[in-house]
Parts: sequence; C-alpha cells; structure tokens
Amino acid sequence: MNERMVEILLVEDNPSDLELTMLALQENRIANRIEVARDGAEAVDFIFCQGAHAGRSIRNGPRVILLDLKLPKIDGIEVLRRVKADERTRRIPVVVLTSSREERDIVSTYDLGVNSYIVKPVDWEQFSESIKNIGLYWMLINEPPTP
Amino acid sequence: MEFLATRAWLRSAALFRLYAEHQTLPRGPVVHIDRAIAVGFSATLLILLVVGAVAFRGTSRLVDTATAGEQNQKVLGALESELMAVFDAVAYSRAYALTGNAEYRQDYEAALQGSAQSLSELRVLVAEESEQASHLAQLESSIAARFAICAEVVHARESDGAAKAAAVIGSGQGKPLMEDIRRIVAEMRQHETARLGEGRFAAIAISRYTKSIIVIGCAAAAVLILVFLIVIRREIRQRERAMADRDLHFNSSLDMLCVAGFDGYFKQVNPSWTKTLGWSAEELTSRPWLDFVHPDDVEATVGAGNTVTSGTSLVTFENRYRCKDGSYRWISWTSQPMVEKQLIYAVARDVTERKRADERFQTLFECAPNGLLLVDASRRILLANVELARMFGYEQKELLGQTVELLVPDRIRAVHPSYVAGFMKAPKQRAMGAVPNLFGRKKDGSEIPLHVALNPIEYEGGVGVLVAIADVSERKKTEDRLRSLNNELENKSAALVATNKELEAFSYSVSHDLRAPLRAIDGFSRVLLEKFSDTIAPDAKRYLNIVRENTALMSALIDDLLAFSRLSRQAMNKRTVPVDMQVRDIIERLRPEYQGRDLKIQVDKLPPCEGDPDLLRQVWINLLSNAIKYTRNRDNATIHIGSSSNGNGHATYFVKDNGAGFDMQYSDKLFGVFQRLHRQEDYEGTGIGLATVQRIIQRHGGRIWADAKMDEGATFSFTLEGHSES
Repeated sequence: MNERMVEILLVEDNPSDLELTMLALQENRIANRIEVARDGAEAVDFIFCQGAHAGRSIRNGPRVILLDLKLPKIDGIEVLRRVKADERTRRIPVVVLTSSREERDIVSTYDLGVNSYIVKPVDWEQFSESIKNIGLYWMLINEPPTP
Repeated sequence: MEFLATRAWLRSAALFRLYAEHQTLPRGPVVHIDRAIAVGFSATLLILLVVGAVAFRGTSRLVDTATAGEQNQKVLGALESELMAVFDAVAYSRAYALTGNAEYRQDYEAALQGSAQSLSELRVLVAEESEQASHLAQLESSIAARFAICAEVVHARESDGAAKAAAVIGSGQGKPLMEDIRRIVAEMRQHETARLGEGRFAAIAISRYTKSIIVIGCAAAAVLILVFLIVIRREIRQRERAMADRDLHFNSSLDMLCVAGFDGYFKQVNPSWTKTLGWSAEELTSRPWLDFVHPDDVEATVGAGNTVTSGTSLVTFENRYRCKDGSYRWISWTSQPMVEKQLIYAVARDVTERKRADERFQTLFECAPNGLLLVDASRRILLANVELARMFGYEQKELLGQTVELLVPDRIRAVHPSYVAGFMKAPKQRAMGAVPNLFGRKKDGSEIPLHVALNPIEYEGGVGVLVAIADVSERKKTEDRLRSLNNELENKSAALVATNKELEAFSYSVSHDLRAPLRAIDGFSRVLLEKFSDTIAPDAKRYLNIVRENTALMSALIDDLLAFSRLSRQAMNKRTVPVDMQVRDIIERLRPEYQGRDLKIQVDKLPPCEGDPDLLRQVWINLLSNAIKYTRNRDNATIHIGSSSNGNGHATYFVKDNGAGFDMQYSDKLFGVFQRLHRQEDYEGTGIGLATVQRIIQRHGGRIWADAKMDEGATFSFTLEGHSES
C-alpha cells in the first residue's frame, strides 16, 4: 500500500473554481487527500489507472468524484459515462458539481447513474456551505460498499 | 325520369282534351243511334198516321152507310104511311058513303092530306134514285086514280045519296088500282130493304178492315217504341258510364284539371287543385283566376289567356299560383279552348319542385367554379356555363351548338374527334388532371393550360359527356410561386433551426461559463474580506461588498434570463390544473418572504383551468412574489387573489395588492424584458419576472393586463382563454 489513498477526485478546469473549492474544503476541514484533474482526460487516466497514473491500482479508487461537466478534452458527461459503464468503477459515487442548471444536463447525468447533481452557487457563503455539505455527506454520512 | 313524367303528363293532358271533346262532339256510335232513333220514331209516327187515316176513312164510310140506311128506313116509313093514308082515304070515303057522317068526311080529307104529305116526303127521299122515282111516279098516278074514285064516291053521296055512292063503290073500278098500289109499294119496299141489307154488309166489311189495320199498326208502333226504348236505355247507360269514367278521371287525376270560362272564372276544378293549393273548389270558382296569380305573373297570364281565348291551344305556359297559406306554387299549363262554348279545358301541373330543381341546377351549373360543358355524342355543345365562356373568352350563346373542337388548339383540332369517338366507345369517368398537359384555345387564339374531367352522362335518352374544365394557368403560376416560397421557407426554417441551435448553445454556455467568473469574483472578494479584514480599509470593505452585491444581482439576472429563454423552448404539457390548490401551496411556500409582516392574504375559491401546471406555477410565483415584495412598506398590507367568469367558460384570475403600485403611463414597459418601474434600491429585481409571466400566458393563448395607481396598489389580471399552443 505504497500508493497514496485518495479520498476526493476533484475534476475542475477553471482555476478560480478549483481554488475556491479547495478553499471551501480546507475551511471546512473535509479532506486532505484530494486529487485534482484539470480536464476529462486526466480524470479518466486517474480513475482507470492509465497514462500518468498507470502504476495505480484501479481498486484503489477515490471515495468520491466531484465532477464538473464542462471540461476540456473529454467532457464531464463522457467521464461519468465511462465510470458508470465500467464494472470496476461504477460503484464510485460521482457528484456533478457544475454551474449548469440546464435540464438536459440534469436528466442525462441522472440517466447515466450520477449519484448527485449540485449547482455551484455564485454566492460564496452558499458555495462554501454546499461544498461542506457534500464533503460531510459523502465522507462521513454515506456508507460506501466495501471495495 | 323527368322526361318520362312529362310524357305521361302530356298523354294525360291529351286524354283530358279527348274527354272534353266528348262533351261537345258526337262520337261515331252516337251518330248511328241518333239516326236510328229518328228513323224509328218517324216510322212509328208514319204507322200511327196510316192507322189514323184508315180508321178515319172506315168511320166515315160507316157513317155514310148508316146515313144511307136511315134514308132507306125513312123511305120504308113513308111508304108505310102512304099506304096507310091510301087505305084510310078509301075506308073513310066508304064510311061516309054509308053513313053520310061528316066526321068520316073529315077523316077522309085528313087521309088525303096525309097521303099528299107522305108522297111529298117520298118525292124528296127518292129524288136521287131514278128507279124508285119512277116507281113513285107510277105509285102517284095509281093513288091519284084511286083517289079520283073515292072523290066520285064522296061526291055521289053528297049529291045523289047513299045508293048512288054504293053503286060507284060496287062498280069495282077501284080494286085493280089498289092492287097496283100495293104492288108498287111492295116493289119499292123490296128495293129499299135490299138497299138496307147491302149497306149493313158493307159496314161490317169496313169495320173489319179498319179494326185489323188499327191492331196491326198499333202493334207495330208498340214494337218499334219498345225496341227504341231499349236502345235508348242502353245508350243512356253507356253515356252514364262514360260520364262516370270521365268524372273518375277528372276527380282522381293527380294533375289539376279544370274547365274555365272565357269570363275569367273557373267553372270546374278537380280535387287536385285543393290538394295542391289548399283552396276549396268553391273558393277557386267564386273568384277570377287572376286573383290567385302571382303579381309578377299577371301580365304574362293575361297574355296567355288572350292566346287561348282567341282559339289557340296553349302548351307549357308557367305561372305562379298563390296557395291558401300565402305561399306560391309554380303551375305549368296545357290549355285547349272551345271557342263555341266559350270554355277552356286545361290541365295544370305543380312544377314547383322541378322549378326549384331547375333553379338549383342552374345555380349550381352557373356558379360552379369550374368551366362546365355538356357535349352530346356528336360533339355538339349543349350547355356551357359562364365560367367556361369567360375562360375561353366567348359569350355563352356563341358556344351553344358549336362542336367542341372550337375550344381545342389548332394543332390537335383534326385528331380530336377521334379522341372523342374513342372515349364514347367505352365512356368512363376521368378525373380532373388525369391527363396532364392539356391545352385549350381561347377566342383570341391564345392557348391556356387546362385540367379536364370527363363524366359520361345520360340525358334525354342519349349519351353525352359532362366536361369540367379548370384553367390551371393561375394554378401553375401559383404553384411556381408556392415552390419558390416553399424554398424560401425551407431556407428560413433551416436558418431558424440553426439560430435555435446557436441560441441553445449560447444559453448552455452562458449557464456554465458566465457563472464561474461571478463565483470567482464573489468568492475571492469574500476571501479577501475574511482573510485580510484587519488590513483592509473600511472604504475598501464597503467597495468589496458592493462588488459582491453586484455579482449576486448578475447571478440572479443570468438565472432569470436562462429561465426566460428556456420558456420558449420548453414543451407545453397541458392538463387540468387545480389552480386553487396550487395558489394556496405557493402562498405557503412563500411564507418566509413575508413572515412577521403585517400582511393579510385573501384567497377566493379559484376555478381550475387547462394549462401546463409547471409553467402556471411560475406565473403564480412571480405574481405573488411581486405582490409580497411591493407591499412590504405598507401597514395593513393586503393581497387579494380571486377570479371572475368572463361568460364563455373561461376564468379571469387576478392578484390585487395595495402596495407601491406604478404609474399607468409606463404600463407598456411593464412586461418587457429587463424593464423596471422601480429603482433597484427601492425594490430589487431583474425585470424578467413579468416578462416571464406574460410569455407563459401568451403560450397558453391568454392575455395579461395590469391596472395600478402610484402608491395605491396594482391589480394583475390574466385569462388563459383562446387558442393556445398545443
């Protein structure tokens, strides 16, 4: 078990959003072990232990994936589809964390088996509160299946 | 059908005329009977005359015979009297001679006178008969001689006495004279008696002959009379039967039969008149017929009447007769005048239905939007409607009777008859436009593209073709125009689809990308305020807060704008919406916005409506939020939600508040996107709420309007009536 345990995989391309999310997570002391993917491809590599993460075991997946939808290279929906389509990864909870309030996004992600869909509030307090709640819920309250 | 009926009707009219003629003209058998009766009666009369004459003559002869007999009797009587007078004279002369008694002398004188009288009678009686007259002359001379002896006797008595007288008597000279006298009288008597017998025999013969003539004559007359009685009775029966037949025909005919006088009155009408017009026979015959004629037809009817009364029979004259109920029926007449009787025999028929059918046909035919032609088997144009004439540039009357080739382009005119012949061999309906690229030739020689439909029909016993023709030059132009319009539309539609896609991509991207910078601005402003609160100047803090307020507003604007743009794209899902329940639920959900305020919300019972529940929910949320927002500076704030029925089953809902209201002169801006009537610092807002409300209501086919006064409140009313998107 020399490889790093990752509690949260945060997939976010926007640096401001990334920093604010990290700030919110730290402020609320949710998790220390956070892996950040800046686009869909990186996220897929990490999840499926390929490319830069080829050495990782796929069984050592993150506890939860916070996924933005609008991503360079591979978009969030595709990442979600691949995660949920793969026998090995589909039990990983995926929380879509996005600016989009579009109905079609909500419907299509739910169709793909998303575990939660959160619209990022613009207001900082609300945003911070949302991140805190997500962390608390998925890290502490929710009981994941044993890998 | 119509032609057959007309034929039957004409036959019926002819029959009626025949009956009418029967009333005036003797028929063949009638001539015979009448002459026979005349001859018979003349013969009978002749027989009776002969019988009468014979009887008269017989009777006259009998009377003559009787008169002759009487003469004979008188002669016989006179002879008797004469003989007696002679005897008396002889006897009384002798008696005087014996007695000298004067009395005897007187008797003797009387006897002489009687003899003289009888002789004079006899002279008269036998004057005609020479034989008797000669006998009488002899008798007279004998009597005179005898009377001379008597006178001698008397004279002897007077002068010489009885003896002398007796001597004279005794001389016996008187005896042969007396015998002569007796003989002559006997002869005369015998003659008269014989004559008497002759007369009686003749009388018997005459009476026998007369009797037999009378009997035979009377019998013959009786037989003749009996025969003619039978013949006449039979004839009368036949005539009665004929009359009954005529009456039956007259009364039971479905046509209206009548006899009318030249005086302008009906004399007799059959029950069909009453059936058709409703007037009783008495009503029809008691007024001039012109009284019943439609005012517009009076002139024509008078003209027709004059034609008939001048002795011309009239066929198929038509006019309108008034019914008892005031309506008019079209009547068609066939009239036959009888000038010598001053009567018109007419058959009339109610042709109202036919007339209407004709009119309908005429209207249909003339008003048909297509050109219509009726062409017979030899290609003659029997009928052409206005549209057809217009289409080809002719007058209608120019076309009638022409061959249909008149309308065919020159280049196929020669072969067209063979086309028609081919069609006629197996006539079959052909639909409009079944043969493409047909052309017609107009009067001016130009050609027009046509669609032609052919429909074989039977008419008046022949086969013809009903041709419907549509001028498709306009259609062709229209089709071309339509095609280009369609292309244009398709292009526009494609452009619209592209625009829509772009818009969708745009709003999607807005949704994602516009929020992130705002979040960054707000987030980092906040981080700045928190982490560096000690080092930031108070002014800087205030500015940072202003930045944050504006990011919040910007965020709200983006949300509302996205929601608004979604409205147009979102599908409508209409069903019955329980408005009452929905409104109460929304008020409950909005409670945090007015918690603790002095606000009274009155909700009437609201009727349900047809619409998309989610969209209508947004309407109510926006209207109620507005009402709550704009009443927040009001003490005793009230919001009244109610409805009224607008009379056609649709409700008009309203939300009335006594809040800030607005100036009605800006009401046109009320429902515009980003239009606001209040300052942001007084009442925050994005200016999209009412635009959203209006958009939703418009999508339902409804209407929203507002009524307000500055500082006194506003009432928003809307209705969902009318046509809506489905």
